[in-house]
Amino acid sequence: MINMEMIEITSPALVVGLLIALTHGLLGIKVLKKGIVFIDLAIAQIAGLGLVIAGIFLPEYGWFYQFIALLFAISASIFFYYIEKIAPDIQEAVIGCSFVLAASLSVLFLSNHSHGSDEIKHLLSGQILFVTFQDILQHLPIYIGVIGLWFLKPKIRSGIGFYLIFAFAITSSVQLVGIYVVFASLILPAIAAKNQKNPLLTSWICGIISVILGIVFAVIFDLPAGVLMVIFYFVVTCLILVYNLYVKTK
Amino acid sequence: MSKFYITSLLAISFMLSPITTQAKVRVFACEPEWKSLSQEIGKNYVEVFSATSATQDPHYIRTKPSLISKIRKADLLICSGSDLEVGWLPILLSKAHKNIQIGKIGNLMASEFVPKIGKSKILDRSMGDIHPSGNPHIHLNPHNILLIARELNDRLKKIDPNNSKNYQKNHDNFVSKWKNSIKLWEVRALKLKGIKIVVHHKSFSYLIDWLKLDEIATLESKPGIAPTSRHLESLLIALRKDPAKFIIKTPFDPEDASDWISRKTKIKDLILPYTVGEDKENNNLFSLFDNTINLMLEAVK
Repeated sequence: MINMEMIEITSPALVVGLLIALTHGLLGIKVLKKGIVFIDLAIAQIAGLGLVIAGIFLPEYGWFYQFIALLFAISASIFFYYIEKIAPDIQEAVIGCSFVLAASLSVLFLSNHSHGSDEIKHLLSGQILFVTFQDILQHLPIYIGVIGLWFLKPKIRSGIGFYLIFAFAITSSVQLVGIYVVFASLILPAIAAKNQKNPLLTSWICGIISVILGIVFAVIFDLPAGVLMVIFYFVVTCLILVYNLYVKTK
Repeated sequence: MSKFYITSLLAISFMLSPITTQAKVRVFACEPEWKSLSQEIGKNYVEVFSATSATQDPHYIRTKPSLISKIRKADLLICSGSDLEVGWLPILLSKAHKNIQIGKIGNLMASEFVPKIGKSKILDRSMGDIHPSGNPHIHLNPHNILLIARELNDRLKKIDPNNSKNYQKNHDNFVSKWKNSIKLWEVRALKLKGIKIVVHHKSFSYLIDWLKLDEIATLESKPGIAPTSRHLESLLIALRKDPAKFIIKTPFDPEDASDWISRKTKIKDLILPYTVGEDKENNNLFSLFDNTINLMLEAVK
């Protein structure tokens, strides 16, 4: 089952999965601490809405699509930052509502579009096996930038800086792997990392194991890889939590 | 000298062995109808894989590792073309061998070899899922199958010249059997001529054109776009005045719209196989047409 050919076929998916695991491992812990777990769904959906609108009004796919998706995501993240400042108690509620609104608008725009429901499905669950190394190269600078800034300029982790790098990372990730993998890779490792001595290490290990298991099972059972990754993020997080309980009670 | 002779003979036979012995031509079919046709012409000289099954809408598929693996090994790609697979085939092809890329012998887009209906001059997605190069659901006119069988035979002979006689023989057998069947189908389907029907999507346009059925409405307001309530209302009014015999749809079309119409008007809805399946009753192109015509004859009784 697992031979050179399969490794070659799944290597772009593996690379992109690991890249996202590393980046989201950092961002997720912060998101969970802030208590705004739906921000990624909201930003991903708003970036997706940008892509949908671009797809309707622009004939040819090009760099301008990326620009519009980013513009949407960044505007949303600035808006969420502003809400955090003026009304922190309802921030999560506003984020949730923005998600529902953006999702509904996407459905509305696509309702007049052939096979619109399939495009929505694509945005949600992605097609990670279709990712090529060329796609990865295009988005690589963004991930390197996010990880680099995180460690070299720790100031960026708070305030408006966090919202901006978050918007950049999510806009890329959602196009590569879809909303389900984005959400799972942010939140589940962060849950596993809670109350750990070294939260970042735990979150990264959880992400890396989940991605590898997702790909391996996709190859063995010939199933779509993205959704399997989501399932393994869940399973691995549960195992880490159970292990922690066991260690504590001992 | 004799040693050299033997080694070179061995080397040559080694090089030839993959072709002369059991190496089969690997065919990657996008849809089950082309898998079935490839088996008719290729018989045991080909190994055929279909990317979609009879219950799947060929407009969309999900990628699994095996799909990429199969297309990388394919010697011949056979698809409907005309943008039917535009949502997934180009990305899949970017991972495939150069011999099956567009314009190569190993790339057979069936719709390029048949007269097409439903060509549109407006290249605008606001019109819905209109394929500018014409309706791609070409296999439901059996005369088209003959044209594609001829092209497929040519391609197989070029890809695997050692077996060209076998391909020709299989092709000729298939064609004579198929022509007889067409005659029988056309006689049996005379009763269906001119009956009024409603379709869900334009999936049956070639069948309708062949049997001279009268398509009076489509449930989708525009191709590929889910039926809107206003469109269904107006359809309901029209069908109450001038009822159709039945509503035809594929196994993968959604059921809500046709259910709604048939509940309100008592017009039967009829699921036709659309393509070759894997069950006992419908596992090749002959049974596909037999079943399609039988089901319609039963429905008009």
